Amino acid sequence: MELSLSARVLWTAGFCELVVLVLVLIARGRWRSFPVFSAYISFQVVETIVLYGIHRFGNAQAYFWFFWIGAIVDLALQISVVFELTGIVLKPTGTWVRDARKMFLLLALTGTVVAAAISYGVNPTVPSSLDNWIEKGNLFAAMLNAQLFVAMGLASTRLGLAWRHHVMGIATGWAAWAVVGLFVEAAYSYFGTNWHGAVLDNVRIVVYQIATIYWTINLWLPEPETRTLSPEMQSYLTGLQQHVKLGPQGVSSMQRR
Amino acid sequence: MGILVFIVFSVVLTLGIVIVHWNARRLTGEDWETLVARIQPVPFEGLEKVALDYLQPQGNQLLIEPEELWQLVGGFDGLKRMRQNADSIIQLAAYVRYWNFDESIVVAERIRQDAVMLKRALFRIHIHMLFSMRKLHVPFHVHQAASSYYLMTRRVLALYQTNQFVLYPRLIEVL
Repeated sequence: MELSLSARVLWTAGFCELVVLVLVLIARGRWRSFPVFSAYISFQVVETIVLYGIHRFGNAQAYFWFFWIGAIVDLALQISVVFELTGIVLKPTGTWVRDARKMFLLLALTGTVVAAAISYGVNPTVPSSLDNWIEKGNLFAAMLNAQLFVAMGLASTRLGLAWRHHVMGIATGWAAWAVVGLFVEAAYSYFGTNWHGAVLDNVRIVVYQIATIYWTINLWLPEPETRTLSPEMQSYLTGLQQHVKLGPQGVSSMQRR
Repeated sequence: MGILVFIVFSVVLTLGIVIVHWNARRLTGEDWETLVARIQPVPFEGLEKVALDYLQPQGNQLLIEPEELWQLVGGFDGLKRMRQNADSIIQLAAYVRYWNFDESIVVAERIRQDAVMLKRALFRIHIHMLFSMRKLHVPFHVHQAASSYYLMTRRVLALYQTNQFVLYPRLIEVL
């Protein structure tokens, strides 16, 4: 199967952007804060190389199997990234903020059940039974990704938990990509894969590439400085506080004398 | 039909993502003055009297009669204002992250726990008043609400006193 020029350009550009993002994650040490996100991006780099190699030198059957195994690992990592962001936002001290876990799990489980029921009820316009199940799986994956993100966001904003700069950056790109994924899957499912399938695919790829560039810039830039009082100033203020507290007591004890 | 439900759910999720994102940005970008401006005045002296009667029991623990208790916290209006202020106080504590991330997160969490107690107590008061039942329980919940709110204000003030002494006087004035 020969690739079109636009497909080659998108593939090459996407690969280069991912490599740059991996380099930024390593060079700026962001992989320590976002290990799962870093693993997900690195996995995509490796997946692209492997699939390209099989496409060039392997056969169609090998490509089929590697593609679908890769898709399953990809989905598992996507969900793990949302859980990683959830952990950072809802467990700022390492343990769950009060009521956060309950709220997140309730929203996430309800959303998952609804997503599963909807995907089961959809009858995609596809030629075979296998394609039907694949499309149902894609619809479920798109909904799961988006609804877990919403569950995490609702739980954190309702509890007044602010997102730090890099989390906000990753979440922004993720949200845009999740929304586009939902509507591309809806179009696939309703019109079938023959209806501008390549264009829809390209839209999703381009949005993901824009998100990748955004993540690269965001993660390259430092987290805004937190202004912490120096230990000297802390001890000065504590001393001043003690002094102010003791002052009136001293005066009243002198008065008693 | 199935695809229509999927599209409706997708639109709901999209709106959810937009709202969540907007709220998260607002939470991160809101300035201190906007947060402080949201604090509604409450009768703090009366509230402190009720709270200390509960938190630091003295000889006669029946000194404040239920009617007086109700007046001291400002009645329904006072309780409503306390509820509205609770979320702003949590955000004010979380705002200290700009100067001391760790302490602000821990103190905000303690305040959040007090806020849960406050909201539960207020919910129970509303239920008892709404159905005119077991009104004897109301003063207990008023005591609980007042002490939770008092602790919240004490915690946030102590946090500002050690981390943001420039804004501290303004916060005392507002709370």
